[in-house]
Order: sequence, then C-alpha cells, then structure tokens
Amino acid sequence: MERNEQQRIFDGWLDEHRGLFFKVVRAYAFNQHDQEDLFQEITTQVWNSIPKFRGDSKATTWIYRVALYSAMAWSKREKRHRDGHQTINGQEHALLQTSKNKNPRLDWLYDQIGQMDEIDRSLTLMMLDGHSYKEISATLGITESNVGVKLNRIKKRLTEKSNEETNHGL
Amino acid sequence: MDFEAIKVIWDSQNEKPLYALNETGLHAVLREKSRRFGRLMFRQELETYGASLFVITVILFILVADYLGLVAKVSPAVALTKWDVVALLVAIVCWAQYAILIYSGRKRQHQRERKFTSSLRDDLERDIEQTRYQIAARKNIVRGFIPPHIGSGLVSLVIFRAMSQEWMIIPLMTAMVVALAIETRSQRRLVKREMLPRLQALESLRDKLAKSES
Repeated sequence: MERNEQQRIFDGWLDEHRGLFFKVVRAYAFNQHDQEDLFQEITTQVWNSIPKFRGDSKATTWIYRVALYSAMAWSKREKRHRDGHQTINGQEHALLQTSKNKNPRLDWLYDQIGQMDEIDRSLTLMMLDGHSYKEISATLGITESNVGVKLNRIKKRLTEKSNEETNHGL
Repeated sequence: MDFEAIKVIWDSQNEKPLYALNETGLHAVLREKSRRFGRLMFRQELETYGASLFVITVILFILVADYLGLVAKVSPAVALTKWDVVALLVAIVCWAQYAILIYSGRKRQHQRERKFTSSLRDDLERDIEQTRYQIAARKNIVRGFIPPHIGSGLVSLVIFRAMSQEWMIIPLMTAMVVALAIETRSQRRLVKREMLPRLQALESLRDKLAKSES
C-alpha cells in the first residue's frame, strides 16, 4: 500500500472515529500521562494495521479490535513496569480534558468500566457503542452466546450499581 | 436506573469534544520525544563510528607491525604479501568510506535544520525533516552496509591466509552474510515500526495545527 493512501485512510479514521480512540483510552488508562501514552500506542497500532484492513468488516469494528488489543497489551506491559516507572509529576500534557465537558455521570460510568476485568471492559465499550453480538464476538474471539451471557450479566450489574449509588449525582 | 438511561449517559460524550489540544504541553511532549529519538539515532551513529575506528585501528596496527618486522619476529612463518597489504588498504577505504558517508549525511542534515527556530511549528518541521532523512538514509541500507562487510571480509581473509587457515573464511563469510541480513532486517523494522508511524503522527499533528490556525 502506498504511504499516501495509508496516510489518507489514517487521517480519515482519526477524524471520524476520534471519540472511539478516547473511549478506549479512558477505559484502560486512568491518569493523563498514561492516557497520552496509550493514545499514542493505539494510534501507532492502528496506523500499522491499515495495510492489513481488507474491508471485510466495518472500519469501526476493525479500529475497535486494534484499539482494544493494543490497550490490553499496553495494560499488561504497564502492570509489569509499574513499579519501576513512576508518572512524572508536573509534566505538561498534550491532551487536556475540557473542564466544561466534565460530566460526573459519565465519570461514574467510566469508573465502573475501569473496575471490570479486561474482557468485560472491552465487551462493555463495544456494547455501549451499539455493536452487535456478532461483531463483538468476531472482535474479541468469544462465541456469540458467551457474549450474550456476559453482556446480560454486565447490564444487570451496572443497573444494580447505579441504583445502589446515591451520591454520584445520577 | 435502567440500562437505556446508562446508554444515554454514554452517548452524551459524543455531543461535545472531550479533549482539547494543549499547545504548551504538546510542545513539551514533542521535545521529549525528539530527545528520545535523537538519542537512539546518536547511539546508532556512535556504533558506526566506533566500529569503523576499531577496524581501521586493528588494520593499521597489523600494517605497522608488519612494516617494522614485528609480525615476522613473533611468528616467522607469518608474512604479509604485497597483495595482503593492498587488501588491508582497501579494507581501510571501505570502512572509512562508510563512516564518512554517515558523517557527511548527518552534517548536511544539521545544516538544513539550522533554519528552524524553537517554536512549536518549527520544532515540528525539524522533526519531520529529521525523520524523513533517517528513513531515506535507510532506503538503500543493503548497499550502504556492503562496503564495511567487504572490508571486514578482506581483513579476515588476510589474517586467515597468513595463519594458513584459509578454510575459516567460509564459515566467517557465511556468518557475515547472515549478520548483514539480520542488521538490514532490523533497520527496516525500525523504519516500519518506529519511523513511519512517527512521521505520520508528526505530519498529522502539523495538519491539525494548520487547520486550528485557519
């Protein structure tokens, strides 16, 4: 694939699906330094994956697959290195969460997602973004029936949690 | 609250951008990344100069020792022919050419970079140009690596011939061809995995900045 073509596709994906990148980043990385690190990791992996994209699935499904696997790999790697690498305090950040858009209800939801194991986290992200069981199954490599069982459990747990919480402003 | 309400909360983030670009922060991140990239490139250059210097020193040592008659004194059976001397001189040229090629390319690149100031835009342009230069330098990497490998092959040939162990050149040449293939592959991987994504990220960032300015 020509580099210009790869660049064109990448720019298009980044413009159109930027939100998807940020959702995965926010679900897997919990401070700004990590979020930037993961964002760069995901964009690099998505860039590298473009020549392998054959158009058999939707672009969003493909990006989700690459982003989630990158995030899981990054997460494992970070856990291994966490003791040796401290976040640099006072470091400047390239991305700023816009304060005017801070949403406590959304923060609560991300908090709940962040407490899940990695597979449940990926399932939840894709479900909330409206992907079908079939797409989720193909992306995460688990059977459709298993996806259904897990998602029902997750929905139930999220609903229960939201009812239990009284102070998060929901 | 039912699941539909949770979905509404989730979808609310699609309405407004969650993140904005912080130029000062971006500049700091860019500088840090450039420093890291620069260190990696400097280390590779240093390896080139170090290897060239080492091989040339060894060859000069052999030539001087032979000229002073030290080689014959230590081992009377070993003597360099005039063809050995020619081979060693050619090896010096091969290694020196390699080091000079890298040095002069880098120097030209430094001169090209002088026009840039320390602003975010200029830092970006400088990084893009640097990355392009490093990618271009690795385009004909096999051709670049051949002279030093020929040089090393000639030195080995002379040494093994002088020791009457000519057969040793066959496994050594095989090892060198394998090493050449491995080094070439690792440089291509560096381009594919590090440099091209870096270039793409920098160019995207430049476009975004240009768009935000307009």
